[in-house]
Amino acid sequence: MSSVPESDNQGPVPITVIEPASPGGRLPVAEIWANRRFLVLMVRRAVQARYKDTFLGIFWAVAQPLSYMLVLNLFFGVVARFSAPGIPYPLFLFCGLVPYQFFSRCAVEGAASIRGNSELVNKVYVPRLLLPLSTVGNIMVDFMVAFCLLVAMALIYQVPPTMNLLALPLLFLLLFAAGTSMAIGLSVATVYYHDLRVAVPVVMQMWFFATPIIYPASRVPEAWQVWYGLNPMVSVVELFRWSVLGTAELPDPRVIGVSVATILVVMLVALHFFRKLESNVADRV
Amino acid sequence: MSDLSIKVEGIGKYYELGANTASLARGLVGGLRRLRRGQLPLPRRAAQRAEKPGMWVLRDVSFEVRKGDVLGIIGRNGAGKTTLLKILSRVAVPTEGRAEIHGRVSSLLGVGTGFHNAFTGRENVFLSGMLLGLERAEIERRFDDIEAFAEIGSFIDTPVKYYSSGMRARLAFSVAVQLASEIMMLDEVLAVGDAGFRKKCLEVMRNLRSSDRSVLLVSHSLGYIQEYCNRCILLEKGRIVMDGPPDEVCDYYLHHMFPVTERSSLKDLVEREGDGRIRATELYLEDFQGRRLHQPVSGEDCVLCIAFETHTEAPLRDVDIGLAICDQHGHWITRLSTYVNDAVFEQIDGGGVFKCRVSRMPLTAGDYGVGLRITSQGDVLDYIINAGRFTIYEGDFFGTGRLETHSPVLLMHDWLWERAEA
Repeated sequence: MSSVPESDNQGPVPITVIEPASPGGRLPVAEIWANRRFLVLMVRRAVQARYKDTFLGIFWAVAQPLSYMLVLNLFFGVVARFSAPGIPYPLFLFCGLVPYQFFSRCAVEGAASIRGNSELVNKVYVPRLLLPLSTVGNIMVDFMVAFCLLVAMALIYQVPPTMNLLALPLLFLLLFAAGTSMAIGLSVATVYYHDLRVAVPVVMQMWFFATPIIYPASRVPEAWQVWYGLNPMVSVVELFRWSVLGTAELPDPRVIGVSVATILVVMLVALHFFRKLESNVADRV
Repeated sequence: MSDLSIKVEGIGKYYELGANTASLARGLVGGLRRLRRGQLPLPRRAAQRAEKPGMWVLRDVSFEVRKGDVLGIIGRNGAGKTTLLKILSRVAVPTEGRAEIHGRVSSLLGVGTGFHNAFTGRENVFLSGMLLGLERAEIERRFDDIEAFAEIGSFIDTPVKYYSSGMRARLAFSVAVQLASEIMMLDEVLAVGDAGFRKKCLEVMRNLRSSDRSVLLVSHSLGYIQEYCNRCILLEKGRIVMDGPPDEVCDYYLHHMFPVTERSSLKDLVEREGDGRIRATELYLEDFQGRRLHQPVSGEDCVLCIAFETHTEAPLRDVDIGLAICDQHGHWITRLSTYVNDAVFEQIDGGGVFKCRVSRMPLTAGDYGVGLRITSQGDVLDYIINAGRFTIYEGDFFGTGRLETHSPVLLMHDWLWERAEA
């Protein structure tokens, strides 16, 4: 019963070299690829935990953004009488909410992804990048469910599909890039600055109002538009409406340019710091 | 192909003191200050931080492990044992040096064991296997063995957070053994789990010794190290002090690494009674060969020594010595006396050392206190309630490799079955 299996001699024995972190750090792309199945398993398990193992299952994935939208609609649409040009307000709201929630959750949950897994980080070797990435993957699944809901809602409101939908893959890419960058950057930053765990949710709440979700971006004065674009979610949300609802006009290309540039900068900064700081994470978690 | 398993060359690890206290506020203030000085508001570089106080928890550590080696790592708390395993299992990064690991590593660093709490045991087996680089089918093929070896029954489908530490250890150990990684690193894992499982682990360890796998074992139980390792290194203050056969290294550790401060000097003690014709000056432990014993172990022979001086011209008659031993809560456990032993010293006419030999120390691991009373013909000469303390360490009292740690006292005993007559 307690016989010891010999190690398998399938292929050469892997040789690992352990060395001090190089000053430039490293980005373990090959390692992430080698561990892709681990990533998939982590995501699948987290999704299962939420959808299968809970009493109402997938209902929650639908109910959560929907109820949020209904509350916002009640306060801003019905009571405060916000409106959007040519689009039913609830649909307008939801179309902004879906991408924003993805982004915001990436920031909040990504920030906790390494610190919250100290058990794992401190005890076994896990390529740390897998932790924020699996968190993002997990949120991505929720996003897809919410997005289907958005499509269903557009159909109910009889919004005709347009050619703009063809831009969706690009938009997804932009949104995922923004969310993933936030998650990666904040995951390692939170290890160094513990306050971030508390600060990030607060900031994301304010960020919500700095993003054209309950109001159209056109409400922001013309002179500020380019600066406004520094919040990458401005373009992402506006482009989502343009693509899915087909009615809103394309945002100012300068604003889009600023937003895309911001996302790229955030991504480079996040990867840079991750590379540099990742190696010492276990000393601090 | 060579039989090299691990090669460690000059590994060192420097920890900054207070590194954990970074806060956003301090970071922001520092950034603003740098902005005002016209610098970029980025965190300081490592080079600029070099003057920060810290300490080397490991330095110049070099050794090699060959296939089939079971290497014990011993040393006091804080000697760097766990840090070394963390570096070799890539959980932490060294500050200097280099190591080569030939093969996949399963590491069990303490009770935590690196499971994902929300996942079931089954899922964690797959996660661990995938981190080891195994294919899903490969893990599935071995799953039954893992489950059987761990003996945790239906808990395999329960999230790990509901596991006891013993169950965690069982699962972790069986994953490590059954997934057949070439190298296992174990840090104090034998301390958890019940006797049955411990026995099973030890059996595995014994079998590993001649296999093509290798093991690094950190343990405070020198008994295990001596029995299961074929080599041992002793770490002290982050450096390797000794590297050699386990018996020699453990022996050296026991006899040289404990500071002399553990003996209690009684010379200047005032809290005592008695007329002072005899004054105990020191209380300490020795082994039967007369060497100072700084880390007595259950089951080991030892001598309680009372150094004393006399302060009288006339010889002292019928000197009776009593040593009372209490546990750490002050409960009296037993008394050693010359009276019950019928060994009262008829005449003492000069200083020296009273020695009380105890074969096979029957106390379990723990802290003990000693009270001392010396009388002569009924007159109290020296009486010290708190004469000293000593610590007994876990040891193989019964000589079976199995430890009894819960009861205060150990009795030598044996068992037989007298069959009922038909």
